[in-house]
Amino acid sequence: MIVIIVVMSLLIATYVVAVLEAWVATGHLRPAGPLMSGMALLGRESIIPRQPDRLFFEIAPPLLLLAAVGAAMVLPLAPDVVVIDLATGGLFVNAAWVYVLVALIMAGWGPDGAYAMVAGWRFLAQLVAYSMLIVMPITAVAMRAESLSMTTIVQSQVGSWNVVTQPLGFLLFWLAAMAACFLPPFDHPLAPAEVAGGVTAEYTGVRLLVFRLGRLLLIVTLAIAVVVFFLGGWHGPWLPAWAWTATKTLAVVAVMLVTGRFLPRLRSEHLMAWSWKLGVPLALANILWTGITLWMVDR
Amino acid sequence: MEPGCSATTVREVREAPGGWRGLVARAMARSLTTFVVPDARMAREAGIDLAAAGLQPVATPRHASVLLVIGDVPPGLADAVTVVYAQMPRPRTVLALGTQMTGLLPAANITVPLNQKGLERGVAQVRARISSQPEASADDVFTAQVLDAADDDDGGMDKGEMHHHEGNDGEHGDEDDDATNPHAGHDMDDSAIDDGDGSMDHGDMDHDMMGGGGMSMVSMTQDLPRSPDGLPMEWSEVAFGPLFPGLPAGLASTLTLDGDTVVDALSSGAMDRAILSSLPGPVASFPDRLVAVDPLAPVAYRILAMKALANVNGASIFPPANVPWVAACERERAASHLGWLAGFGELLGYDWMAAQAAALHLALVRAPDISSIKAIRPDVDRFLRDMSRNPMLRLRLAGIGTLDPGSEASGPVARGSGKRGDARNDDHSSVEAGFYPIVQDAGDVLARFRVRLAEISLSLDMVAGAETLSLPDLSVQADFRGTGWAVVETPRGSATLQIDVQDGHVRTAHVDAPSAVHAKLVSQVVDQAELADALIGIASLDLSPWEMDG
Repeated sequence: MIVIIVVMSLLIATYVVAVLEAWVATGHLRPAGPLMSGMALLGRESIIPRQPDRLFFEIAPPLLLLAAVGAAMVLPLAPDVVVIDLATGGLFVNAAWVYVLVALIMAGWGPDGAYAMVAGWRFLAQLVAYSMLIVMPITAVAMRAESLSMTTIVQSQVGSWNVVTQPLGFLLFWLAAMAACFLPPFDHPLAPAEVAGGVTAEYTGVRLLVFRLGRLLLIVTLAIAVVVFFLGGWHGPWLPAWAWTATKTLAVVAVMLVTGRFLPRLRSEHLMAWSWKLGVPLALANILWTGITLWMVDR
Repeated sequence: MEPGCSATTVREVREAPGGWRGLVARAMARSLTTFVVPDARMAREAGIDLAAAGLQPVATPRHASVLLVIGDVPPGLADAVTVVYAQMPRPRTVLALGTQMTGLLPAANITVPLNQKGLERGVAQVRARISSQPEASADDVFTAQVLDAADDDDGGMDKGEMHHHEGNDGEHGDEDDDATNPHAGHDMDDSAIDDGDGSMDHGDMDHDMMGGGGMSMVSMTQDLPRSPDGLPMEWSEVAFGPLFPGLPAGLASTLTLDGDTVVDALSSGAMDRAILSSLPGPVASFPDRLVAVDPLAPVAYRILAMKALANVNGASIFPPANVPWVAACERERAASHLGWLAGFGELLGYDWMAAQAAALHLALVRAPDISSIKAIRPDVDRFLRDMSRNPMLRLRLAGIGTLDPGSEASGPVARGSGKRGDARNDDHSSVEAGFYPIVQDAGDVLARFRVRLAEISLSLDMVAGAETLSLPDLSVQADFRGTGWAVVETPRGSATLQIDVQDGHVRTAHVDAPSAVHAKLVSQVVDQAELADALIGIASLDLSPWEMDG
């Protein structure tokens, strides 16, 4: 029962995110847009490149979807609405998101095309940049909750949300989340004008549909993670818990999409340099700061 | 039936299918994605707004359902267009604007006039066609002949060689080893690849390496070329173009990639030699023939022809005052830079900038007179202010694509590196209209970007002070003869023309175009640059592939 509720909520959220993405990109709000595009993709021919790495080519889109689904399984949408309340949920989501890299590398290598291959490698470089900035803020958040369980992390934010007590961690996690789902300005693997569509360049038909669905679900799971870790999860007055989660998640996604429109794609060099020379020291400072504040509160 | 509009013939229109297939058909008809040939910039130059017509442009033909052809396909692009069509998944439609596409595969399914109304009518016909025949048609089998020919030549998988593969073969059997499993329903698997727009597969992934299980990395990599950082990596030659989304249409570049760093680049254009050899002829129609040399700067070339004729010894074919030329020339310059900005914004992944520049480009192209240009001036100024103050752009563009242009370069490429050369320096009427050369010293992409931004503003100032946008008429006497020379500052640089006229006929005409010179700068710009930076550097040269040799 819980599983059905979670799955339905995620599907609805994914659909809304698709509508939002199209709205930001084109300026027109089309509620039936994703439905039409999805069905249109089903009607189109599925082309297989001539000498693909067939295993990678076929596995990559479903793997992307599975990575997102895996992360979604441990994210709590409301006090008892979580598919698996893992004690190490905070660690597990990160492990699930790593499979996004595997999927994109496969999608890059599989079609035996230069553009896709370069795009896959670019995402690998991007992961090297953002992965520390995902894990370190989670560490600080877990320090406050004294647990890695997602539900406990949300409950630890009853008094004040983590965005207020750990603003640095929030900012770093936000940016790293945008990089993890390769939204602009971090959309190196998909850059339309640089690598002609990148990892999606050779996919058509059903596979393209699954890939896009996987990416949308990934965006949703990352946004829910931001809400769970930093924005108090389901806490809030008047509205029921699930409504707060939904509102906050969609707000997070909307802000991510809008900021992407107004920023040029980040240069790879800058992404690497800023993540490691600026981001990691700041994340460590965040952990130190959290430790100090928790110790002071304890006293 | 209106003229210029072809009807779908009766035998093609079938009953719209019902049920699930009908739903999918209607969905496909409502989400039309399009791959534009030559590119979106040429569409805007023709006054066409794709989004308003309901078409969504995409970067790769694999995601496209409609192939939109704007105007006649130049001979240099014909092969590329066939490859692109072969890559599109079925059901696919070719919508041709203003061209019959005779003798060129693929044949146009729907032909309409080259304007916005024609496009909208064409899109409606496309939707009707897709709704009524949604399935990938077994008749729609297409192989790109250029790829078949290349395939016959190569044998094995040598490092660094281009591999071309066949187009869709459909179910009609092919001699491949790969088995095809035609699925039921809508999917049709093909054993075909087309790495199109001419892209290259990494066929240089060697199979030699697979055999040596016990070799050390040192011995395995000893023969590989080394980059300046000492790391031996695989080098691939990848083709970017001639229909690559981030570069001007017609520009075919082959970049040698060392990982994701570019170590070398070879560029060639799409110049049509037949146009140059057809330049000699009657004087009265000479400007029309010269305009065909570069479709991206028709006004500048027309003015070039008229000026050269006006400078022929002893001729006085129209009044010496050439102020009317200034307004038309500067309006084209502003429009060209705005069009370039839109493409540049897409390359940068800066959607907001690309959208704004595209809208302003279209508005300027469509403006019928000087007062409408004045009306859009506040929007343009606001946009230019935002762009020049933008810290993110400064960060992104500073320090990349630095080049030393040499003595032959001109235009924003030269002026972005501190050289003050500009053909308008010596043109009295331009100076009177307010011209002054805009120069930046840094020589990088940011400098050229800033030069073009400032030139838009200056050009629109010069247009605002003029009386008319139209060019004077040409009238010629029968015994007109002599040699003439002229130079005009096109949006890309200085173009010169030398002509020899006898008995009212142009006997010889020699054109020196700026992009032919700037093409030599490509290897400087991409040297050891990361792929994105290299493409940005090439785009910052604002090359016109029609002026470059193929």
